[in-house]
Amino acid sequence: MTFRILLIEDQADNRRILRDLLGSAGLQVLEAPNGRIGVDMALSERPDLILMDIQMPEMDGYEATRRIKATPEGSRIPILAVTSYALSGDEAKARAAGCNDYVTKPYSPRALLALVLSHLNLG
Amino acid sequence: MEHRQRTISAESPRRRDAPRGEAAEKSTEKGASWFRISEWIARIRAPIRVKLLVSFVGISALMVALALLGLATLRLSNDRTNQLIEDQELIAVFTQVAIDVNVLLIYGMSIFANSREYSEIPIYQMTHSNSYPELILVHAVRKAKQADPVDVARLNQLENLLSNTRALFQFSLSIEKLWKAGEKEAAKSEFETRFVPKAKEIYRSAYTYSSARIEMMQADAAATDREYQASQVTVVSASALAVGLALLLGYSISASIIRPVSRIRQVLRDLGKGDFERAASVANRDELGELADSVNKMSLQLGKTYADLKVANEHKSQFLANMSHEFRTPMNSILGYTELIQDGIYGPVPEKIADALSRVEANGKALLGLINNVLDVSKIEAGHFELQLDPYDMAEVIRSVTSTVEPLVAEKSLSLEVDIDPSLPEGYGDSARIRQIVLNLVGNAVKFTERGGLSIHVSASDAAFTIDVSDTGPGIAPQDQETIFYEFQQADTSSTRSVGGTGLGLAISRKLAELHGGTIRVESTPGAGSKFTVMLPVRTPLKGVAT
Repeated sequence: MTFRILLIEDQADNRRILRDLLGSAGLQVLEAPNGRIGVDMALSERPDLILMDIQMPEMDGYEATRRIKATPEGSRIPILAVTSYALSGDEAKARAAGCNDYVTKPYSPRALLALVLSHLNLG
Repeated sequence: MEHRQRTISAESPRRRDAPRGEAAEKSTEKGASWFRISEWIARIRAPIRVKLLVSFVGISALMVALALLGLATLRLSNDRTNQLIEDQELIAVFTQVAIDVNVLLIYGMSIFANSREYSEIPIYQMTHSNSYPELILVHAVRKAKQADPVDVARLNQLENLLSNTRALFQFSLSIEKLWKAGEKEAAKSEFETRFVPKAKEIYRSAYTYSSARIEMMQADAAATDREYQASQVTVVSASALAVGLALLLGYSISASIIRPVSRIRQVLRDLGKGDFERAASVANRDELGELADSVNKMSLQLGKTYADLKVANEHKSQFLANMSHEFRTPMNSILGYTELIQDGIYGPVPEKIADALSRVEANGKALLGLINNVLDVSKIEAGHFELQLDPYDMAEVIRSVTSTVEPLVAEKSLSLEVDIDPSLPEGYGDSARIRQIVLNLVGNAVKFTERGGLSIHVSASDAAFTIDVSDTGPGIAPQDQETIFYEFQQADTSSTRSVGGTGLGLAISRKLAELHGGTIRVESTPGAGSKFTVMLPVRTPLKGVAT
C-alpha cells in the first residue's frame, strides 16, 4: 500500500524538492499550490499525511490547518507544519492551530523524510 | 520600563485630569469657599513673587493694624489714668483747703471762746497757718492754667477758693493787728463778723467742689471700666479677625501655588509610569500656569512619540518576519536540492561533481549561518528574543558540540581535550542557545588555532555552571578583550581576514549568556593563547523578552 502525502506549498521549487524527495522514498505525492485548494484536496483526497507550509498568501498554513482539523475526516490526518518564521511563539502557534509537528526552513531533506516516516509509523 | 498599552484615538486623545489634591476633596463649606478663593487668586495674571509679596505684606499690615489698635487702647487708658490722677489731686486740694480752714476756725474759736488771758502764739499760728491753703491753691491754680486744654470749671473753682483764702488772710491780718493793739473785743468782733463767715464759705465751697469731684471721679472710674471691657472685646475680636484673614490669605495663596504643583507632579509621575494621557488642569495664569502648559505639551508630545515608536517597532517586527522568510526560502531550495542531488535521487553523482557539490553545500551552510547570525542580532535588538526554558543535560550539550567540531579539529591536526565534571546537576534553560554559545566559543578556538589544540572544562558549583574553553592560538591583545564582544568587531582584521566570519558570534553569545542570567569573560595573553569562561546559572531565572 502506497502512502499518499499532500503538499500544501506555494513555492514551486519547494514543491519539487519535496516531490523528488518523497517520491524517491516510494511515497505518492499530491500537490496543492495554496491553502484553499489544499483544504479542498485534504477533505476530498484524504491523504495519509499533510506537509503544510505556513507562509502562504491569502490563507496561511495556520488557517488551513484549523479548517482541516475542524472536520471529522480531516482531524485524523497528521499535519506537519513547515515554516521559515523564527519569531518566538511560532511553534506554539502551530500546535495551537492543530499541527502534530513542526519543522523550520531550511530543513535537511533527509531529516524531514525521517520525520515524515516516523509520523506514518514507518520510521 | 513597561509601558501601559493605551490607544490614542484619531479624532482627539482623551485627556484626563490628574487626580486632585486632598484639600480640594473635602466637601465641607469651608473647604469649598477656600478652594474658590484660591482658584480666583490663581487666575490673577501676576507673577508668583508678586502674589507672595502681596500676601506677606497683607499679613504684616494686619499685624501693624492690630498693634495700632493696641496702642490706641493703651493711649486711651493712659489718658483715663491721668484724668483720675488729676481728679485725685483736685480732691486732695479741696479736702486739704477745707481741713486747713476748719483748723483755722477751730483755732480762732478756741482763742476767742476762752475768756482767759490769750497768748499771742495761737493768733500768730492762726494767721500764719492761713498760708498753707494759699500755697496749695496757688500751686493748683498754676497747674490748672498749664493744662491743655484748660478745664475752665476747675480753674474757676480754684481761683474762687484762692481769692477767698487770700481775703481770709487779710481778715486774719487785721485781727492780729487789732489783737496786738490791745483791742481784743474789736478783734473778736472782726473774727466773728468777717473771719468766721468767710472761713465757713471757703469750707463749704471746698467741700462742695470736693464732693462734685469725687462724683466725677467715680463716674470716670466706671466709664474706664466700661471702656476697658469694650476695648477687650474690640482687641480680641480684631485679633481673631486678623488671624482669620491671615490664615485665609496665607492658605489661599499657598493653595493657589501648591495645588497646581501637586497636579503637575501627579502628571509627571504618571508620565514616569508610561501614562501619557494625563493632563494637569491648572487655573493659574502665572508661571505655574505656563509650567502646567509646558508639561501638558510635553506629555502630548511624548505620547505621540511613543505611539510613533510603537508603530516603528511593529514595522521592524514585520520586517524581521519578512526577512526571515525572504532569506530562508531560497536557502532552503539551494541546500535542499544540493542534498537531494548528493543523495543520488536524480541519478548517480560522479566523484568530481560530488566534491564540487560538497563545496556548494558547505558554502550554503556558511551563508545560512551568517544569515542566522544577522537575524539573531536583529531579533535581540528588536526585543523579540525569548528563551525556551526546559530541563537539559549540560554534558550532552557539550558532547554535541564536540562531535560537530571533531572533523575540523582532525583536519587541522589539533588536540581536543574534554573534561566534564561527572556530578553536574540538571540544568534548566534554553539548551539550543547554550549549545550555540559553546559551539561559537569552541568553533572560534578551532578557527583561530593553527598549532597545539584546545580544551574544554565543565564544572558546577553554587548553582552555576562554569565552562572554560582554552586554546593555544595567537591570543587577544588587552585593548581588544572587551571590543571583541561588540557587534561587528573582530580583533585585528589582519589576523582574522583569513578566518572569515561576520564578527557577530561573540556578541550574540554574550547576549544569550546574559539572557540566561550569566556572563562570558576572556583571559588572554598575546602569543600564549586564550581562555573564554562562560558562567551560567544552573537554573535560569525567569526573565521577559530581551531588551
